[in-house]
Amino acid sequence: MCQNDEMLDIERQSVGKDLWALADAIPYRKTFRTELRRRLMAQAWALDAEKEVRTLGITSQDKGEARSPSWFQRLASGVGRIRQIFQVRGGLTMKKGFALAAIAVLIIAVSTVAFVPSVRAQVAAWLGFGFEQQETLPPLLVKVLARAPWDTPEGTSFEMFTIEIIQDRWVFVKGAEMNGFSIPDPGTQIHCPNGNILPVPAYLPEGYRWQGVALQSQRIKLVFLPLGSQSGAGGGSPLPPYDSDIVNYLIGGNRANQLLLLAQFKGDLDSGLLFQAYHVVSPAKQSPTSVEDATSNSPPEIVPTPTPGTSFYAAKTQVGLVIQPAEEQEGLVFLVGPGELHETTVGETSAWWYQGTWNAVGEWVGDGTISLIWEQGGLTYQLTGQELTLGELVCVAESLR
Amino acid sequence: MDTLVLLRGKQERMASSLADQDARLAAAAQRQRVKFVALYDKYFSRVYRYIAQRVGVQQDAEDLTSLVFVEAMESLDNYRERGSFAGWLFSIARHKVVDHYRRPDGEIPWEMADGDELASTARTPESWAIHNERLHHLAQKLQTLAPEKQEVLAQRFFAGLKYGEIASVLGKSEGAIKMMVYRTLDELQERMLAVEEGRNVSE
Repeated sequence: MCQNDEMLDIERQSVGKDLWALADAIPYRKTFRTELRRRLMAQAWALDAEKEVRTLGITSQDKGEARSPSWFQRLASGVGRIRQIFQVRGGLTMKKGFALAAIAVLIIAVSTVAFVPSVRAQVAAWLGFGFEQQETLPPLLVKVLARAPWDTPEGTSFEMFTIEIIQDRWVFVKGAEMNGFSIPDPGTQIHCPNGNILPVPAYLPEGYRWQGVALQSQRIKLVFLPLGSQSGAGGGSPLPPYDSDIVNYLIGGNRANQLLLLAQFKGDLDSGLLFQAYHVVSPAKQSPTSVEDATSNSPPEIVPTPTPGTSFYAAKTQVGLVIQPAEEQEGLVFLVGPGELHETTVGETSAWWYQGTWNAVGEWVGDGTISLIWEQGGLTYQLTGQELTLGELVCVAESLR
Repeated sequence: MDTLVLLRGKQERMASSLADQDARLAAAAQRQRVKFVALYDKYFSRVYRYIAQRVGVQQDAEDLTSLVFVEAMESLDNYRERGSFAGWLFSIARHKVVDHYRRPDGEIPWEMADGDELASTARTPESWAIHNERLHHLAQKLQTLAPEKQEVLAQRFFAGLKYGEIASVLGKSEGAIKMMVYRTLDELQERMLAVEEGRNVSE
């Protein structure tokens, strides 16, 4: 009897194993999976926006007064041992009535449709036309520039690091490929020369490719630029020591030069440091004809530089960090401009996100850049994406292990 | 014995941890719908394969999978932590399949799709060739089972549900589901043996 039971169990296991294999053998189209994901993201975004309108409407009615700008103070309570204090510059007043909220949501919705590629593609699909998408992306080439001038109060020390992204980088692709760059496995970790460990995202948004490609060259450097190792005093008194404690990586990008940056901060600081992330996007790549047309009406702000081997002109994208001593606060202080600071979660950890960035002359630009900040494994991370939804950023963040 | 107990304890903790993880993800998605995408990533292949097994045609499987996830996201507020998220999700999937079969054109045989775009499986093309014949026979014999037996196997092996979760989806006891799975596996094994021995078992 016992033997019979055992035989039955073995047979069942065998059929069960085959059934698992059969399940695994059922194929699905990757494009379907991706398209459905996109559609859900767009719908989720709309649902969240709708929810926000309802919440703000109720808040406004119930309290009968505008909310104080306490959003940045909430952060002061901090997470863990690192204090993240957001400051507002530019005289922020945040009187939010229902009407304003509705306008804001309308703006968000329009911006989403106008600037988020996935939504744009979705809308385009509804309207009956589409976009061509590339499956592969060459490694992103960046050039480290000298420290740029920065308008800071006299006697204030600062560091500023700029990476210039060469937008028309196709010329360099073959050379980079010949150097045999390798792509790390998603979800793994990279041990950097400065001792930092960089988590490689297990997930990148649609159209984005891993950009962490190390290529040795005197003239051109790719990503993995440890900002700390480039440090040097600028201005007045020296900065508190932070060498190798702060790293900013370019971990992803797409064909349109929209970037995914990951800054990693160790919190063992003797005193406060103020971080001001910025990026500058010059006008989109233009053909010579359109540049001439523009010139005839009004002179372009940036004189286009001819790029060898192409009839197009290269536009420039710069990303960087300005680091200054924080005078009144301790630990890490992220300097952001006026606007709402939202609370969210990365996994089970509290996180905050805001939209916009500083430009090269210290002006706040409320563009499609979203930054997400959270703490993980004793480190503070700032993930910044251009034209990505919050959901996509959170997915990237949660895929870092 | 001690090892077995420890192992079982570990498995239970793991299962419990996975359920907790789902509950946390679902709670986060209830607060912010964009986070639903994490649940989508986790369950896409299981939902798709369950539906594909049940409806048999790629286009229908894609349509129904879309409907399941859209409905799950929209009605996420209805999900409570009482049951597992997987059970809740596959209840929606099952209803979609049932609705599909209520349509006049719902009955279409199962067939393997073109393997060019396979997103899953680590098999090499060579091993595919070896396994496919047996898998095809298995898929065919699966189709010959009674619908409720197909359903329970689909939930167990294609959806990857635990017995307790299947019980909650089908509204039966866990013991009854276990027994049904065992008996159906025995029946399927018999039919497969018949194929291997080159004789036909009367359906």
